[in-house]
Amino acid sequence: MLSKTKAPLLWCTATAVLLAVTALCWPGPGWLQTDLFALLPSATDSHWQKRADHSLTQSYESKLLLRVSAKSGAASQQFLQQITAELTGAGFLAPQQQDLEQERWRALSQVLYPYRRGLITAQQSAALRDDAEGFLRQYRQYLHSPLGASSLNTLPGDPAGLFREFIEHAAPGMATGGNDGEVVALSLRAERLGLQRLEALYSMYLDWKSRASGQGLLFQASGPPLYSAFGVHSASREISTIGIASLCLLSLLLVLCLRSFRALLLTLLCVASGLTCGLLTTIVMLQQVHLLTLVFGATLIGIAADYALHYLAHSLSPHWRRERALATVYRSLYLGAFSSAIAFAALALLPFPGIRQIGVFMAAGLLGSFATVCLLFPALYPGLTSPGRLPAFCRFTPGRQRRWPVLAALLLLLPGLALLTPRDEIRDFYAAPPQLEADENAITAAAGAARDSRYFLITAASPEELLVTEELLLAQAQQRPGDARLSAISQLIPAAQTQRNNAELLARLAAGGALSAHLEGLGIDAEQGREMTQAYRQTDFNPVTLNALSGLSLPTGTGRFLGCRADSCASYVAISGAATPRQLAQLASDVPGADLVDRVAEVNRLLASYRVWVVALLLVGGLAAGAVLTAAAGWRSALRMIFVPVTACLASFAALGYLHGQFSVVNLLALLLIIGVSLDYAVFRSLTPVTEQAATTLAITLSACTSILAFGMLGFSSTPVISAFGQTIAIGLVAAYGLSWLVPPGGEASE
Amino acid sequence: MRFPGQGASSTIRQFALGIAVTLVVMAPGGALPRALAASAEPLLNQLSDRLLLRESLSGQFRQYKHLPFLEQPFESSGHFALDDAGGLRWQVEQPMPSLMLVRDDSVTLDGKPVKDRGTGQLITLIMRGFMVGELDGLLRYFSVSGDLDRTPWVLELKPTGRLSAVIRGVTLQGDTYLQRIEILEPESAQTVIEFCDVHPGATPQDAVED
Repeated sequence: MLSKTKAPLLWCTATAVLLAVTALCWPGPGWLQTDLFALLPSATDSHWQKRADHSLTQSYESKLLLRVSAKSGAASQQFLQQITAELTGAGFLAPQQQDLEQERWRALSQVLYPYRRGLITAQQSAALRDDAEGFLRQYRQYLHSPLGASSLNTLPGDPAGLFREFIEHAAPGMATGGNDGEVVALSLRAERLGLQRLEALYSMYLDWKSRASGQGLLFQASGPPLYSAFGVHSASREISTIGIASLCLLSLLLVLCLRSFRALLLTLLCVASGLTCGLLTTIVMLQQVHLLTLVFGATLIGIAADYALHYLAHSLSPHWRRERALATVYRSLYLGAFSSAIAFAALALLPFPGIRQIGVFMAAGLLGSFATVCLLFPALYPGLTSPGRLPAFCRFTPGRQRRWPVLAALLLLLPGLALLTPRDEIRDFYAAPPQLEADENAITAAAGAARDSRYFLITAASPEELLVTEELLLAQAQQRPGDARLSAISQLIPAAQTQRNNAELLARLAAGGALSAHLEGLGIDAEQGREMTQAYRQTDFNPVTLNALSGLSLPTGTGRFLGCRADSCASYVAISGAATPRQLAQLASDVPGADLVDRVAEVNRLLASYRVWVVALLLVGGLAAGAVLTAAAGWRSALRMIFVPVTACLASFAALGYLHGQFSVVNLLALLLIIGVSLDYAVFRSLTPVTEQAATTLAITLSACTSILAFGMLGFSSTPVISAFGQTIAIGLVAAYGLSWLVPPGGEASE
Repeated sequence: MRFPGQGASSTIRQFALGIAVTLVVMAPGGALPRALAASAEPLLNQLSDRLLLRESLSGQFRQYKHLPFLEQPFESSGHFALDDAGGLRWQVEQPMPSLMLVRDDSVTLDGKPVKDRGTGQLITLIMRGFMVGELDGLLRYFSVSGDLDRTPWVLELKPTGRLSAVIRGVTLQGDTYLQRIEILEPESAQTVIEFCDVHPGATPQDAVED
């Protein structure tokens, strides 16, 4: 053991080193993540799919759809304008944002205009081939209606309105508000969707809801930024609620049981140093930390306090001496802290970025708390001024209870375990407040603006083959039943052969006089008509290629060309509408080179495989812990100690079976924590002599109360993944506490 | 004959701008700030008092479009009807018959749904506004000034926001009914719609559901 002066010095040195290393390795902005997908491993090794995922995520994650319905259209418009102005004022929206989109379309149209002879939609082409005169007559009727007034201006360059229609066809459907509403689709500034501002966005949403209701309007909003904003809103609320509640309960228990203000301060110091150590180590090692890791980290308070409580509870024992205080509990603290830290560190082996963060955070945090107790407590805690007295319940001797009722209770676990079935669905993890879900459903129903994270990944040997494949896919989608609306890059740059065919078609129509006759029908004299159609009569035509788009910022929602590598080129085709998975899968299977990418389904498959991995890890971890304990305390004691975490885990899962009937990888991960904490109980109990068992009982009870309350509160989280985690652990720890009474004390065991 | 700017980059830019604007022009967000709207309200209320308000309306129209590349105006004529639900029936009779129906968000031309780049809704908004006296809707897209002391009265609408890229201004004239709409566009293009023989009520054949 270190001396009373050297130990605090070592603690201070270690703290200074940690702070210095953190300062040197600080990752800078962006170290705090909020995206749920950042917690998950990459679902693919495909270079193209990763690029498509990245591109789609960038355009999709900042989309916001707002809808207002009212009896008066003016009132809806005015309300939407107010909201837009407020979003701009708060920095979420770039000033004149829709002008930027307009500028993108203008630039794109400008690039494509010289190639307009080859740029015709498949529908236009078919209509012109079938009945050119009918098609052109219909266009003349359109021009004579008020609708065609603006198209008249483009008559000299686009006499049949083909290029205009081509560009509009490539524009993804503008959402409408339905019969009684107005809708606006906005792209928020990605750089403004940081943590601090997102919470403000959710508050704004709630305010709009309330104001609209007060004005007799129905306001609905949807989009990923709102879901993220809700996540931040609820997570920050939960961090403060769980953290403060845990601290308050801890303080109350300590004051009641230990009757020492200094003991309270030292426990808080132990917790604070654990949290700081966990956070800084995670940032230094992984260069980032997720918001959910911090929420989970709040529960470290309950566990980190265990070591302080174990040390301090023994000060109430009549045999306690300050000089031997650490020696009395050191072995159990050491084994408890390291076995738990090893259990958490094992999480870092899993390929889940988020779980890895939690593992590092918790392992480092627990070791930080352990070090604080060992290095600071002997110097700073002199013991009680007046002799302490342990509560009456601590006088019960553990290990004396009849065991057959326990065995009978274990039988009750079997039906619960039999009821369990695995469920691997990432959407179950996400917090989706009913209000936002209802809004999204309403907007989808009214405006037909269903969001879709699925897409077709197109790969081919050359850009031309790529465009041909896309055109085939679009044609197939057009012919099939189902409402699959696709946005592809070939809608902007058709295949070269398609462009040539289009140019030839128009040349034939121009040479045959159909275009001139059409212009004469509009009252334009023959000479003028010949001038207008001169460009269309030319037979030579150079198609526009994908290179023409390089350097352009394409409008939102259009398909994207991903580029070419040595042996392949790729693009993605975005999907909207209400096509079923079966229809899309059939479409992909019928078009060689087109693959349907369903990111959610891929992640779900990953979750299933990691569920199997975690089970394997639990078995390996259990065997490793058993080996360590056997070496330290003999196989009989090791078996008694292992009995507690194993049975606590089974009890927790049996309860899940009775309550929900389902479990996921999250529940399995919770078992790691149950093993770590309940092993502490068994070790403390098993390695403490009979004479000190009363103090150990108090320490375990205080620890169990704080941990169960902390995790129990997580069980009420509005984020399902946290809630599932908290429920599993809370139930498991209740069982572990009960089971800890069955473990015989150290002295007795050795006898 | 060479058309002004044909083949030149200015024409391409103008063309591209026209397309770009119509793709996004009627989306919310480009309308008038509230302060301006408030100052125009007395003028519109005063005008509303001068109008004969009806549940439905029908009459004849003649539309001219002056284009910089045409010597003769582009012309059409026919009759229109506005029903009590705010639907517009626009029957072109000359030079070639066609029927446009505007109802809520849907616009059809000769029975086929067509993409309305906002013009159909805008004309319906203006005509319905003058029929029932609800002129506030104009403030969504325009700043308003005018001379109501003369007959016919004149109302000048200046587009605000993105609409200003495709419309330089709109002049409305009338007495107890709206009689003339003049739309000034960039590059000297101009559309004039004149109404005559306007009378209350729509004949059964004018029903928009037809």
